[in-house]
Amino acid sequence: MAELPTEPEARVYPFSFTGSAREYFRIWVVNLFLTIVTAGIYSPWAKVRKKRYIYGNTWVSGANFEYHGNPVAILRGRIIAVLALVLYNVASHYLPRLGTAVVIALMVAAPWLVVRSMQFNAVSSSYRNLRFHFHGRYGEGFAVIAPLLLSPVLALVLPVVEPGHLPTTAWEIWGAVLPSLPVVIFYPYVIGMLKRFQVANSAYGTKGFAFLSTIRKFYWIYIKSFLILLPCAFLAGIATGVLVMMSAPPWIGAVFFYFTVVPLLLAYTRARVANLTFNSTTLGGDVRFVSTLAALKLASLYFTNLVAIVASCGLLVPWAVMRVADYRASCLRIESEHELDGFLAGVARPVSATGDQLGEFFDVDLSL
Amino acid sequence: MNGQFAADYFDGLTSRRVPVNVQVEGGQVTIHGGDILLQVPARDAAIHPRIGSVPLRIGLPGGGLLVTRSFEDVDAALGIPRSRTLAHRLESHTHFVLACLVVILVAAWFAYTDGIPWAAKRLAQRIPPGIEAQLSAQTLETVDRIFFRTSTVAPDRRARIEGRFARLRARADVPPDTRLVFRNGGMVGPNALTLPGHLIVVTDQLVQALDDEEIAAILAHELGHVHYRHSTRVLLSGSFHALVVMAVFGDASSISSIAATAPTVLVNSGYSRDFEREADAFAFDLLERTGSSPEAFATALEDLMAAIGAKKRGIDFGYLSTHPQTGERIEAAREAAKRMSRQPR
Repeated sequence: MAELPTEPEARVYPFSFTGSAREYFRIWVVNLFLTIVTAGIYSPWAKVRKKRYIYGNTWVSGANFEYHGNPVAILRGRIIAVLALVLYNVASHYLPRLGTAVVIALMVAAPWLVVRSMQFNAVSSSYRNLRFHFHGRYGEGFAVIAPLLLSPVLALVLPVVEPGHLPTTAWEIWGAVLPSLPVVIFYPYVIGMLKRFQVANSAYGTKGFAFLSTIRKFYWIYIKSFLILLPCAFLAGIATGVLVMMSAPPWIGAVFFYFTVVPLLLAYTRARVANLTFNSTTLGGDVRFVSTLAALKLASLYFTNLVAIVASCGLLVPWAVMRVADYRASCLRIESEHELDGFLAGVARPVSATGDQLGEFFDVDLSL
Repeated sequence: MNGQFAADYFDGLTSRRVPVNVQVEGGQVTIHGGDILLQVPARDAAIHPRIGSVPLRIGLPGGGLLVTRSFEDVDAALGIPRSRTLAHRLESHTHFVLACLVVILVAAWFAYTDGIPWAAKRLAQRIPPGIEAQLSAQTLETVDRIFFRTSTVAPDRRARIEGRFARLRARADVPPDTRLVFRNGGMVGPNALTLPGHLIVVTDQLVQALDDEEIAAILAHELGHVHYRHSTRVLLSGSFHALVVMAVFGDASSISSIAATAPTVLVNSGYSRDFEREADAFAFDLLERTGSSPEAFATALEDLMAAIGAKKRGIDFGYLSTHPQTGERIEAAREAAKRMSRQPR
């Protein structure tokens, strides 16, 4: 580290992941068993245990992360969600027009759910015994996801195509197509704004994160992914045609698509969005993040994971999760001109009112 | 308990890591290293639950934290409470893990073969008709978009088929709003399917391949699916499967999207063999009660096989691929026809 004593060289702190599939398999099996015998009541504890294992095995600069999520809080949240669903079903049985009210209620609640889950994730995460914080507000969250809320609004306003009839008039065709347009047009915008919202409102101790990317870059990712999709879908179509001519049933096409095109697209967008997000993030002004995920490498991980999971009837899920977590950590590093010793704890506030973390750190780590 | 171990100390006020030596003696914990020297009562040291080989965390009064890999030394010095290692001990016990695995596999198998079909049957009987109708509208919308085009069956032919359908429906003990629609099947080929919410779809290709008597026999079979609510049950089973899959693979997100393709699966993989047999038996009975012979069902299947050339090319397309064991079913229909002709009416 001290080769260049005169120039203040940026220090590099690579992330590493030390989880083992063997250990995680045991945790996963016991979790599943306890979830089954308790009819699902154990599942929040199972979730916390899995997260604690993955956080605890994620290291940077000689220290690991810790997850502090409270299983009782998660259980409470799930009970409320189930009750709301049951209530909605019962109520809609007696009041068929309730649907509209529920859609509106969901639209009002959506930003709140986004903010609260970001907050919960943040405040439940710590590194070197300092918590992360999130101080995003409802109004800002609403502005971020507002374009997606256009879809349900349009669906409520436009005429519904009668069941059993194909849309025939231009008006009916627009009615069927228009509600999905905002999703298509604004999806990259919303993803980019969500990342900015999450990162820019997060803090580690007293130092805030900053987000320095333009939304345009997110559009490029999705436009390129679409350009990748076209030839891939074309090739998958040809391959399917050949297979069908060799007397395979036509549904082989869907299977083929799922196993090749879907992992590739998923890997491309996830790798690029994660890279862009991390590489645009700084902490306290001088700590930078560098993420170098390779889309093809990630795609091959997804593909082999998918094959392994299907072939093993799910028993290789723990192995698959560990592989992805390992690869993600190996592609992430921190660059800083200082040691990571100088962060200070934030003002002590009640835990429920504070907090966030870089959501990408872990939430996406968990996914395949 | 006495002893000592090495640990990393984090004070909770800064992100500084200080390697320390921890000594436990006479109920006092002494933490010493760098510029750190502090003493806390041993009973105030809160050990976090252990998980795998992740370093142990010990919370200290005042917000400090010790992180250490010396599990045995900590246990000897402080005594790790058994409640903090309960899950870990279960996970470390190979026999217990294997037993869990066996229970999970048995439970999964039972859920797949008996539990889910049973629950789906029970629930299907309780679903209000309004929800079923909504389901059928959504499913039809989806299959219309993916597979079907507008039907080109001649109006008089269509009227004749609809007339026969109305007569069958009147005797079939199905909801009175059970409907029949025609669609150009496209790549689906000659096929008839029942969507949840008493909606039967017949493709033009099927109409072209069969005569009216045979189409009536196929419709009787589909009315069997309506009577037993098979498609609702298939859909519910699919949802239950998806739920189970999500519970198991919850941390492997992309697999769950694969489970969420109910409408396509409905067309493609069709019903289980039991459902087909049940619907066949229903059809034979219904045909008998309306003065037709199950023989028409046998010839319908044969004509379909001929139309598709399945025998020759060894491929099962369309109606036959979703309805397995065709030969067996033709025989069953012939036997039912024979039985019927022997019985004086």
